[in-house]
Amino acid sequence: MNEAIKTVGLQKHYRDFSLEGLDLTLPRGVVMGLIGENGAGKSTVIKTILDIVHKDGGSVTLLGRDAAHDLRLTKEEIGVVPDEVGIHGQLNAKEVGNIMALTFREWDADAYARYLDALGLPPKKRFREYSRGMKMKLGIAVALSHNAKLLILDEATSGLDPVVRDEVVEMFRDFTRDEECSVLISSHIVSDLEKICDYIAFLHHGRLILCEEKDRLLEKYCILRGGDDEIDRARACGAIIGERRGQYGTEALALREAVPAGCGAIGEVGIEDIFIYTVKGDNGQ
Amino acid sequence: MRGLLRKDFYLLFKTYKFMLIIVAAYFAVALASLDASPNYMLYFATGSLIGILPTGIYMGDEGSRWTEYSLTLPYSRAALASSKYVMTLINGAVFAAAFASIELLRRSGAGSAALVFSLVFTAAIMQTALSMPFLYAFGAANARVVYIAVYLLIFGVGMSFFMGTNLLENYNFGALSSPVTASLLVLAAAFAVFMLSWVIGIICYKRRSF
Repeated sequence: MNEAIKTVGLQKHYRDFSLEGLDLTLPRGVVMGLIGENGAGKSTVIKTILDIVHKDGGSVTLLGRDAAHDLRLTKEEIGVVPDEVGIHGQLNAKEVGNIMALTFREWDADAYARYLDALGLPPKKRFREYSRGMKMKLGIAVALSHNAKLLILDEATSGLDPVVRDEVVEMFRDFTRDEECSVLISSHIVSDLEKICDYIAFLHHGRLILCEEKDRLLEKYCILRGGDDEIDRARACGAIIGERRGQYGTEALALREAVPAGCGAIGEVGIEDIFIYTVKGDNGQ
Repeated sequence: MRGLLRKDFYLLFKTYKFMLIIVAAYFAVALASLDASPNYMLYFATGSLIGILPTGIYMGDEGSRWTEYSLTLPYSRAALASSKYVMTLINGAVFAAAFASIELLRRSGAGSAALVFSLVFTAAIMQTALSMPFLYAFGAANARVVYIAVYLLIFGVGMSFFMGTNLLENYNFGALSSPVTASLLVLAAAFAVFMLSWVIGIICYKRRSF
């Protein structure tokens, strides 16, 4: 079993939203970024994987174990930072550490103290007096202090200022130095994902529209700039995924290999470009 | 489970400090009036006050989104649901034993101590027994009415029963040989309801999506 996470046909239906048969595989030792617009279903995917909400269909395997059984044991090896860390406002970081010491078999109190120190979290300040960023940091400290093999992070870097975000991203990178350790991270901040992710998964309206190695994506796609006639020629060859027409020309996301020679200027693409153009293409815009 | 109880007791001492002070004051009053006859209404009020603590903490759990966060921790849903029942039993037993010991100091006999223990313990477990499955099934916000109604019911019934009476003298317990036997039977019945509630609570919690 080389998958940290494997979902097959995962379904969750709400009145106004459905997660439709999600097949997602996160290999061990890999960092996967889950990207999607608001309401795309990122949190639903994470909550369903962790059985915080019950799935309506499909299966979930975590660290090689069926999540329908032994989920408690599996969670010993999973660190989770939800979009809102649910710790009581009256508790302080020291007390949270005491609680977690009785919760995780492999709780590392020294590591926790180091993380608190590195993240600038006062141990005796009450949680409700923390800023949003500090609350996220405490969640991160807990997630990293029990020798987890899998980190699941739901918007974990949101609310952090750029300097701290960079430090936290570096912590996640350290975590994945162990080849057995994997990370699933959802975020709106694509630049963070671009820095640390090996794989990128795009979620749109509850469907997985793309899931590939980041480097492969950056190789596969390009930005094509040119006049309308050049873009139309590339489109005729099936190269265009999505486009944006402006006053001074057209910019399009294109399949690098399919772009005919002499058909506009080819530029490097970013993950954010791929996501925006793909979603717009999927919306029929 | 130990981590969950540690968290709940932290919150008990931090969030409900005022209630614990009231209970301590009741205890002091009872201790200071060893020469008088036992005040059963005071004992009942103490039990019902203790009884609302675990349910109150659960409502705080939902408010702070601990209920969701705790599902990311290595606890089964059964353990998460059970922690409040276990806390109820610990609180009930500790405070019931403390107040029963006053009766022993009063030298009013083991029967009277058993009566007080039954009274405090029964009052302490009934709030959890009657409201927790609703809180687990429908959420704290939706089941708040049930929580309040149960408290008013327990408190109202208890107060109307004990107000201005001497339990040992004024009630005709019929076929039951003594108020002690009656109270122990009530305790047994309350405990059976509590255990049934515990099972239902776990089922409700397992079905719940957060």
